Amino acid sequence: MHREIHKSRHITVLIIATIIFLLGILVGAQVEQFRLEKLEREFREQSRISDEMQAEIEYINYLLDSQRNNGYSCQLLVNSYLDSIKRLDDIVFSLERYESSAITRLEDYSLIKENYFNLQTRYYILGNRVNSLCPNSFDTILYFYTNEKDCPECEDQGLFLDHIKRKHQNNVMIFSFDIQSSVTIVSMLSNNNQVKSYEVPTLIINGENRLDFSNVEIIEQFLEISMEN
Amino acid sequence: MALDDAIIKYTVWALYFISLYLLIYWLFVMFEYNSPTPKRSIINKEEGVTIILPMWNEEENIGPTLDSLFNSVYPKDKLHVIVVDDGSTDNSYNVAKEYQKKYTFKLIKQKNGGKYTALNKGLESVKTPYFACLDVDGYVDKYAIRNIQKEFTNENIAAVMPIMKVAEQKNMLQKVQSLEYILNVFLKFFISKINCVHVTPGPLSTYRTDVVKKLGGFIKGYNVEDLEMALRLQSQHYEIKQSSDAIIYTKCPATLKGFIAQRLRWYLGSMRNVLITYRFMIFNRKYGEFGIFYIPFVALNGLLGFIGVALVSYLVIRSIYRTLKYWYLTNFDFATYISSLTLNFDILAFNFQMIVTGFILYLIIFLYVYLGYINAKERLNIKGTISKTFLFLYFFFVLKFILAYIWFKVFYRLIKGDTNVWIKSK
Repeated sequence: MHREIHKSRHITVLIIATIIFLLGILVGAQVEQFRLEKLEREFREQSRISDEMQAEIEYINYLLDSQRNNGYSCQLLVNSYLDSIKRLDDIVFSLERYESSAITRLEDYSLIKENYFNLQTRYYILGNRVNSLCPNSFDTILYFYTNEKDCPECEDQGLFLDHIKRKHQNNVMIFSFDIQSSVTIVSMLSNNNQVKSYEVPTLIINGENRLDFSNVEIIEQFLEISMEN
Repeated sequence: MALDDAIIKYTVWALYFISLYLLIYWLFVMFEYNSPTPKRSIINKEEGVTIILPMWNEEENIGPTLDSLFNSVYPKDKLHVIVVDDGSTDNSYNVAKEYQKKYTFKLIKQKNGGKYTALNKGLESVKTPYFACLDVDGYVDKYAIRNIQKEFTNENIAAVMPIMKVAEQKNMLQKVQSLEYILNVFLKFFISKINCVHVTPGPLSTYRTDVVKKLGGFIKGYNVEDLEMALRLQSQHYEIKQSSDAIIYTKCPATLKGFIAQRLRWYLGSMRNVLITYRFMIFNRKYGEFGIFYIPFVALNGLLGFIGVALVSYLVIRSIYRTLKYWYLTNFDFATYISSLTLNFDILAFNFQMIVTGFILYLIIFLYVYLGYINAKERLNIKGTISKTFLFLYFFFVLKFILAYIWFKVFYRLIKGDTNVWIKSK
């Protein structure tokens, strides 16, 4: 007895299912485009803000030199810095969320990350200058890491630092750099602090104290300002 | 992207695409075969039908089942009933004997040998052109027998299935099973249009007597004799139809333990029959759509469901593990964790690929549920359909985890070669 196979039905269904499936992919690709554009805009804005901050620092420096400083200037400067870096943290949070669900244009996310390292370095330098002008503003932690495959402890170190930031908030500034990044400034920072790629995770606290993989309690022993506050 | 994230993402997309394909396929079949099938008029040509009731420890149910059967609108001289007591250890036989004072039916007693032996014992006494099996906990709608008869429109149709509904819906488990039964019947209606039915359920599935006798009657079939019979009929190129208006009410497990036991028997029996006894039909063009498309789908169905649930479980467990690990490493400093929580709403962070395709999938499910209830003669308003759709989603996201566990046991037993016998599911 002949039993039919409906090839045309299967082909039609396959085409429709593929169209619906691709529709989702296309919508997703368009949304990725929006995300990248948003990130690029925000990073450009942050870059402009960091230039403005540079001017503020120069002005505060002038006030201090001419002994016309009062605590009010420092207060403004520190608050301005903290607001600015909080916005940078939010952008990075978005970047990580977008990248985790990206399907296309993954290289664009890598480029944005490189821009982020550049910008972060600028904020690190700015942060040191703010601290030197206005002492005891906050602690700084320079954190060198790399991907999980080459650094199994980096994930846990990241969790500890995340908790430090939650606990001490604006009393501690954490600057994280992937030591394998091709960005020149990252190489300069790691070389200057004598951190090798096989030595990650490494923490440099307040520019003086160097720690290997450390938990919250150990890190807190070196946070002068955070622990006082 | 981490390797596990990549594997999860592409597996989810694959499962998603397969689900879309199947749903759209059945919608196509539905629209293609939407016109009512001509039915045989039996008013001038009523034929005899025998109902066989295999019974084991059903002293509470035998009475009401007989009442519903003899309440059927069908010529009494054309309706014959045979009750086969399969070695009951309770008072079932005596209760049935009492009912012989009220109704005319044959009562046979035999040593316990399993349902299929009871069916075959009853079959020996069948003299009518059609016979049906009826589980003793099933109640027939009074027009069910007549309506089933109408579906035998040509000689090649060897069996017809009724619409099965759940009699009691006391808890969420039974409500979800009720929904499942209705949707399955709806699906089977179109599966039968393209002759791809692979199981004729126990309650009131009606057969041509000569065909079943020619094939040698029922066999144990890994404790799913109804499924085995359907596959045997398919292997001989007979047709199996789904009735659109013959309704039977059956009981379903009220406890999780009972549910698991029942499904384990069904799924294990199904896999053994499909992958062992009838594996020659898989991807065999001789069997048309059934061989090329449907029976491979049946073989893969459990595995796909298991993979889907395993993925979701992995994601949930991974998320819980990461949170617990964070708390452990930070000495369970909940105060800091809670005080630092912020709501960071970013519409662009949503996964729009999933949202768009998920929305379309939900619309198709909504349509499926609505049409399923119409097919089962239960009209729903929009609000009712929405609530049933959420019941379906409950089934999909909660019960599916239990079914995945059952499928895991099925695969384990298949690999182990376990030949466990009947598990009492009630």
